[in-house]
Amino acid sequence: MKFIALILVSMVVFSCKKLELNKISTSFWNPKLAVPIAYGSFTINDILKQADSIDKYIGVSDHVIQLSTSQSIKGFSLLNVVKIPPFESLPTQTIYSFDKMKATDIDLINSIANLNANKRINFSKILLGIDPKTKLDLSVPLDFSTGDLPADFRVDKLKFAKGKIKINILEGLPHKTVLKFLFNDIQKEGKTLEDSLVYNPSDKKPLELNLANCVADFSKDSLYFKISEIIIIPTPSGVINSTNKLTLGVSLTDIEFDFIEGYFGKLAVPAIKDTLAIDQFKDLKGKFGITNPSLTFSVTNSFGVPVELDFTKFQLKRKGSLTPLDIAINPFPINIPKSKYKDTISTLLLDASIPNFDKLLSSETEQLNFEANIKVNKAGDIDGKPNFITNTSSISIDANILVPLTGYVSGFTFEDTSDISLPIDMLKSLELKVIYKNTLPVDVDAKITFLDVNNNIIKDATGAVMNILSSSTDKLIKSPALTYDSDTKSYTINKENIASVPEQSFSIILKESQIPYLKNAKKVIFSGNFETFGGGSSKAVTLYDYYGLSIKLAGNAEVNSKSFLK
Amino acid sequence: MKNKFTGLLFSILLASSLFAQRNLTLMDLKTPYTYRVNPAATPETRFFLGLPGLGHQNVQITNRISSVNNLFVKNAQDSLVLNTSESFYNRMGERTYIGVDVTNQILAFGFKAKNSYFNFDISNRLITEVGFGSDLFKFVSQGNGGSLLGERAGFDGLGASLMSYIEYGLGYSREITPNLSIGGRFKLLSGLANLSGTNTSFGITTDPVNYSLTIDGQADIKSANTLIFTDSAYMNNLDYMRLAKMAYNLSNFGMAFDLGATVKLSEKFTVNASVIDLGFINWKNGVSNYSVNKFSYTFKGLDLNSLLSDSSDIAKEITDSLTSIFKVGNSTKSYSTGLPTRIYLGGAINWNKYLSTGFTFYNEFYNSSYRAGVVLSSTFSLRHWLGATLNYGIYSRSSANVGFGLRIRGFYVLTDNLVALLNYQAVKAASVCFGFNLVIGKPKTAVVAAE
Repeated sequence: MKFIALILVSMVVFSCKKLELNKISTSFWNPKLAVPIAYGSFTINDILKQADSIDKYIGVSDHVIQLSTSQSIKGFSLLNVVKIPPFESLPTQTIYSFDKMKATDIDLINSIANLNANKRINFSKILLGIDPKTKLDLSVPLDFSTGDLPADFRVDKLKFAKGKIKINILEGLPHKTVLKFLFNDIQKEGKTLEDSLVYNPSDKKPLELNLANCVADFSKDSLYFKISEIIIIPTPSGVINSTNKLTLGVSLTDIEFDFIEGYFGKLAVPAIKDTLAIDQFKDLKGKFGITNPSLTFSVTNSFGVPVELDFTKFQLKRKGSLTPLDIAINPFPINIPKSKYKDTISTLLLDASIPNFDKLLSSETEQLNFEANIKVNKAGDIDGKPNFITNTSSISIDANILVPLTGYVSGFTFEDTSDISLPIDMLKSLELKVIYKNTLPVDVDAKITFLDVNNNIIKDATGAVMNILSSSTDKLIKSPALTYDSDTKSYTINKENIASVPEQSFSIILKESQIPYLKNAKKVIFSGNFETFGGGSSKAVTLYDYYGLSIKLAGNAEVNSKSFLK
Repeated sequence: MKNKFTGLLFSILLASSLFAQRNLTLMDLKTPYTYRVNPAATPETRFFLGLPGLGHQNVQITNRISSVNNLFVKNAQDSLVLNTSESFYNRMGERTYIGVDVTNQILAFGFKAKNSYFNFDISNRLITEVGFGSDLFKFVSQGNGGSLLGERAGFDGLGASLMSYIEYGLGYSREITPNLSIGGRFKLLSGLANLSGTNTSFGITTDPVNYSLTIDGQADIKSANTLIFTDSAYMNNLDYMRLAKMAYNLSNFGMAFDLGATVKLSEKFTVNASVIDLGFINWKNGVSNYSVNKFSYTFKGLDLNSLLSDSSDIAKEITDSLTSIFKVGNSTKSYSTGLPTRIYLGGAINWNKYLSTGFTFYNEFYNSSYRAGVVLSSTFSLRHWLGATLNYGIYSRSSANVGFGLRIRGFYVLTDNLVALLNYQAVKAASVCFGFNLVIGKPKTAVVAAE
């Protein structure tokens, strides 16, 4: 009976405790959901290449990250000043004048012609037989130094791309005449240029010789040619008298050259004046400096003419004012290629040894201005070293700014505003954790500010601007410890020590007490700044390609189950 | 009305029972079917007949999660909120499940022949369980960002299992000596449907630092006439008559034994022991098995390197990773499953011819898991036509179990947890069992007692 009583008591006890189920809370429960959001590992190369403004300038040399930018500078060309003039009307050349011949000799010639009508007669032999001084070797003087070319401009050898010699018989015989010309100083495909002019008293068609691909020797400043043979084919009615002459008109026109050899004198080439824009970083808010930039002028030349660039101005424009740079090598001689159709490159390296040159690349630099005179054949005509020029010759100047990233950054700010729509009703609290391993020599601080629909900053219950970062005073991302490297004169971390850099973290925390104030948040501003190790210009760092940042983002949200079960 | 509906809902969800029917109250109430828990027990009638729907009907529901009382706690505003305390989850244990066990007797009869008693019994058995793993509720209510950070949230055993079969039992008991009775039942089993998972595990571990999620697990799922219904080709050629015939054609053949003994130590003390459902079913028909090899996959978040690469397809990369990790195999190979085997060890003190006090130590073995319970009971008997028993039990991680049974000749009704009827909020298990049988005559001992 005692046992039954015990059981009944148990039943009473078990049965007494009854919950009022109508009091079940409608808020459900608040589970904490922890999820990894994202992860990644980025070398400094990866990071820099994400920056649209400078990604195309990134390079690596001996593991040191460097920026390099090349710009073509307004160059110049000697082709604009070396122009061969046309020789439209060269002096008339008289081969023979019959007024010098005796009447009996003229009669003899006419009788021979009469007997050999319509037959070929070697007239040059008859002439030489009668007058051995008959002029069959002709020389037409050529003066190339006309126009803007210097008086001492000289062409020794010229290969024609185009050109023609035109020979007219200005005064001829009353018979059909054939003159065979031989140009011993002009070679075409390795052979002496030669051709024949057929003269018909009723049809005075001139002879045109195409000079394309011909190489002419003009070292004697003349056009030499020889009449190797004069043939006449007498017409029955034709009679030679003392008034007859055999006179030639010669022209050399339409000249375009493949190359010219000679001496071009002190050609007058206009000065060059140009500006290098160095404004890639003009929109960055902050200061940075580079300790060892270099600027290389590369002059690519295929003219066989001694040229010097004589810089008259070389200035950095910073914050609107100009700072002159004293270039050690001035004037700068441009190398000459050893042979035609070849290039040679001359480089002018300007580096930190030049006072103020470390300011070449900084956040304040705007441009580099320079002017240079061009001096040609400053040393005059040198035996054995002729000038040459080809129709493809050029001089191009490229300025290459190369910046090994050794320097500093301070007060470098960033800011981005985005529209947001926070799922506040779901959230009870939120922690976003950022776990990082930073081997970049930079410290980063950041701030997150929320704005309402009227762009007013949202504040918390105390009236303070809401801070949701885990720390408002310490750096969010910290540089690893660096040591001074005397070789680079900067602070670095060895590759071997990279692995031992510890993981660190910071959190973005939305507390339960802050949530109600964020209901009106419509925009969020991510702002911050970063600076290199040491926090300013006193300590330069070198960026190596094995530096990087690995990052893991994770979130732990305490949510109201009722919201997401809806 | 709302409260009544809520109460009914929670009665269903949180009422009593266990995976295999404990029938602890049945042990003390001398019904014609007490042989289902001790084959040595002899009915107090010379003949009985159980008709379909009226014989032994038993439904038990076991909830190993929580009682309503423990599910909620009051907050400062006097509202009921979900109990998310560590102690609450610690009380749940490593495996939580809701199980339903139904015995629907189709036909049964028994008769006494001299010192022997024969019985024949055809029953439909349905055993189902939905397992939730040890940490599912903790995971859902606390999330993985609380106390589970750095811990493996284990969902081992998550999923459903089911066993359905027709049992043809032939029983025999005999009073060997005045102090010793023994009994046994041989049962042919015709399997209808099965779904079982072995070596099935699933867990999520959240890294305490970076919250990366590591999912691990494996699965070996065997099924007969369950998962195969998801195969459209099978469904298109479905032969319903074949399914109906499986109730008796033993195409999924099984057999089992029940053994029991009762020893009268003295006029006052009696002890008994029994083993129930020691057997198996070999599933050959409608088999569709699936296995997932042991896997482990860690999700670390979106890969920013890939994200910033224009050519990458992150969704495809994740899909490819998962595809390479989850290797699913399937087969139609036959397999065997054991039955949930129960062992009852008990004793009784007979204070007089009306009143006795007993205890039963209950043990259950199934799928390498072990469950136990203990019951103290007090039974009142008035001749052979009236009996009543009241008991108190601790089982299913609950101490709020008070059983009651009443027998009037061939009719009986009993429950292992009377508290469920009085206050469903307090209990984790409930059962209802009843039977209405035609009984004729009384056993010799009853005759003597009556005289």
